[in-house]
Amino acid sequence: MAVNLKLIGRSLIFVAVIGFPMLVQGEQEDEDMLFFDLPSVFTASKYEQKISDAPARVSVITAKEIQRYGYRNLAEALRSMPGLQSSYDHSYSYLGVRGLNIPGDFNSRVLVLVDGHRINENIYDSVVVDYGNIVDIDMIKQIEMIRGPASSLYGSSAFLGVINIITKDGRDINGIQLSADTGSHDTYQGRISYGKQYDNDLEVLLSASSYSSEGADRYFAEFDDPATNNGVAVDADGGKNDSLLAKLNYGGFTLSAAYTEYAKKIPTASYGTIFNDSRSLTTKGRSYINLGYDTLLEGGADLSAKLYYDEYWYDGDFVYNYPPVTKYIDTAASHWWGLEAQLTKVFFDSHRITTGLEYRKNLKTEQKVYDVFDTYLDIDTNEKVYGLYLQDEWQISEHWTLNLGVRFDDYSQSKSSINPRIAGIWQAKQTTLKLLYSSAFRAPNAYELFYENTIAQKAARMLEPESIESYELIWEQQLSSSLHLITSVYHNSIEDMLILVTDPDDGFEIFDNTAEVESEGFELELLVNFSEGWSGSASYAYQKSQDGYGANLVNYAQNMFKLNALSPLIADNFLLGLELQYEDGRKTFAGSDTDSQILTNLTVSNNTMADELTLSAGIYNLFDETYSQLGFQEHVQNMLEQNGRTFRLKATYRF
Amino acid sequence: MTHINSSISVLLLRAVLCFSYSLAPQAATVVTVTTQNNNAVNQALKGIRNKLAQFVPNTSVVSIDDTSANQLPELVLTLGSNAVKVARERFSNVPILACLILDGEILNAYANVSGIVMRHSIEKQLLWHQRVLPNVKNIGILYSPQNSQQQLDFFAKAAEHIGLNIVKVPVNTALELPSALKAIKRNAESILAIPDPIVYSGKTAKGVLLFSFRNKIPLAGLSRAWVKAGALYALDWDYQQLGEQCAAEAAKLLAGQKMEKFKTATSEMNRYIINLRTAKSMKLTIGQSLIEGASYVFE
Repeated sequence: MAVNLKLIGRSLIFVAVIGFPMLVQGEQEDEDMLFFDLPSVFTASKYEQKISDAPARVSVITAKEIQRYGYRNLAEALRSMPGLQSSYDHSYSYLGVRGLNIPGDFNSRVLVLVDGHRINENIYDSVVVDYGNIVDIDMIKQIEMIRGPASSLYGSSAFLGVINIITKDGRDINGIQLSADTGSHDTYQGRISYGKQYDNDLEVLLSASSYSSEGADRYFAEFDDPATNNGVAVDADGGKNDSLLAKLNYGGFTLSAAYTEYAKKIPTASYGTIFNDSRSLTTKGRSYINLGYDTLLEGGADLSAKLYYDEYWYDGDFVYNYPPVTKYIDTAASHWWGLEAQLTKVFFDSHRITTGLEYRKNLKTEQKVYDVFDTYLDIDTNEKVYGLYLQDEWQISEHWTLNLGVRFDDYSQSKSSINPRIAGIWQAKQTTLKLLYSSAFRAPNAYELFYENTIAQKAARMLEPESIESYELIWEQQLSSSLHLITSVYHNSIEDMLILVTDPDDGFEIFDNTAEVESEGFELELLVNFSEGWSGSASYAYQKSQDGYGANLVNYAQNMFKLNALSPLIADNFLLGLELQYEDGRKTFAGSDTDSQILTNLTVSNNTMADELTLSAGIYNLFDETYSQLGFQEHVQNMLEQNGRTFRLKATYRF
Repeated sequence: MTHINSSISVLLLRAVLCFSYSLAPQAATVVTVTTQNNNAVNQALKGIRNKLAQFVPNTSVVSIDDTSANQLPELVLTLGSNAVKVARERFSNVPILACLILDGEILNAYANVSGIVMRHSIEKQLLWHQRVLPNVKNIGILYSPQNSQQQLDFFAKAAEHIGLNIVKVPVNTALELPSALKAIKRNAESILAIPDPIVYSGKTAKGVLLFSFRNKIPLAGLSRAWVKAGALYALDWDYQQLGEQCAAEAAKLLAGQKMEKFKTATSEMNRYIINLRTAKSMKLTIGQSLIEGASYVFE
């Protein structure tokens, strides 16, 4: 705490010293609105609008960047942001934020929203962020990443950050769009979308996508034995996904629905399953239907409300040789409904007050584990959740804004939680300084509370929410019309973290609130937008995370450097998108480190501003770098080798 | 024919002014006051100097920076609303003619100040909007009731006559803008910007432009700067011509004629600027004749 107070004290002095000379500005005059120099929307501006005003460190990826960098899924796009990393164990992709990439966490500590709708499901709090993400990456208009705790507005799981995916509208498609691509490992993907804004104000978007990949034949030295095909898993890495997205807007009403189902084979023989058996696979599904209403009331109050119904299903087939060879099936299924209402109004010309409530009720939360011999778990638990929040964006003066927020959440299966946020923001023409304090929580989920299988894991039944406190100082500086610098320094403290521990009495694993984590770091990002058409960013992130005993955590890189560059038109209408990502080795469970890695991705596309046909070709891991990521507790492998050079060819046509 | 009429008018005006001016004091001094240095102001100054030299040849036009504190000119010409305040502090008893101002309200505070207000007529703005965006029926206008309520009522009436609907979205403070833009997205197909300092300031401009761009809701901007930054089009002024109009009024004042409190500036030409890059990204088709007629096209 002393360190934190020192940090705040120094930050305030810094704000005062740096800020004071900039407080004196000339008086604005009416005619300025005609003549002032406005930043172009074409070159400005990952950092405009929400980014400078937000009481947090925010990064944005636009649809144009998704297309021009050739991102194939959400995880690839997010990995380009400072301080973010991903892991892949050939079964799931895991997001790491600011030095925390906890093994066995299926992205439960990052809240993912699609058009404001919570995507984390209610059994594991998980989100699929690669090919099984609920939104086809082509249908994303913008990805906003808000780093740091945000439970004061969003409730549980807004622990390390919030990812808000904004989907395209009918007008963005404006007709029929077909897309097809093919790539390495016999990968094929197709999409058909229809979008239109009609004269009577009705706006429609319908989109269906399908993806399949045979995957690679993968070699694992740990299984290099004639009895296990000399360590080569053949036809055991494939994946298949189907997804749908629909949006209907009329007046203030929006009806949206999404569906996805993703099946992925497991080539690593995790959890002691038979190696090189393609019947071991997981299938994850997620769907929702959401009716929203927004209106501006008489007197300027902005009211939004929504009612939704969600489903999640999971089916894990794990093939063991007991003997005999047996399929062990782990399933989960849940559905729930909820409603939210939010009201925003400006009071006394300077207080923008937002208040809201959220109610969610699980109708079914089923977990079942069985094989042909027995049923080891068959439970259905229920939970009700409600949350209330209040936020005041107080415009103290032309330069100063104070953002105060607090939220109360009550969970029927665990303790309630109150989480505040305080943010002081100072803005001048070229400079923004933010000093933030926030806390967040993640309530124990149904899996952590009730999962047991009579073989190795028993249910905890009583757990407390885990919590995080964060202090952060952010400095954003417009260096010139084409250069924008963002730096941030932060300190996070996590308490009561939920992890699997072994009960010494019976040797069974059980979830418990035992872990503590301290992490700190800083990020430096330079955003570039040259008028000649070059744009991109360069970033460096340092992060350090240690447990309560002062030992470094596994699975995070201490130093990361990222370079992203988009070219102007070259050689007859072609554009280049180049990514370079360096990261240090990560500590493994065996105590060793993975090698550091430099990945280079290059995508060439034609100019697509309005042309009907868009073509692109991407080469990923251009220099065929050999690199590995760590295996988790369920793997025999200490490290898992990742893909070498791969490619993708893509065509999109709009009628 | 129009050209001949125009030439005759100018000759007559010059004759009248020369006659009138012969009754006025000789070797008059006109002081110009500016508080900004941009292309528009420089163009307007050029128009003022050229035309004043034609209308009243023996008048010297000097900047306020080149005059001594106790020197009293016959007339002060200001460019921009802040310049009015500066001039008023120094020359409380000298006639002041305000040019390049958006709001006539500022003139009411002072007895010795009259001016020419830059304002495109409401009908003209709507007809141009209809010409550039023929498929748009619901035009969103963000406005502050304290500044622009009356103007909005005129807009609504004028729009009704030509089959358009104005979606009025009040904005009392800049903090209300996010909610107001959400309402625009729900109910309007375009945004027509009006010069309202609460809605359109240096602080809000980026947000409005980015909202328009990202949501494919075209914005009819306030000026060339807005179009350059991403608005679809804007009606524009010929600032040299505005300076010439100012010079004509100045000549009348120097000749001892009385002027109305404020006049609305007229634009003799239809000047407009288009951003084709914005049109392209919003998947809008702009007719070739519109492109050819534009005073400037951003591509």
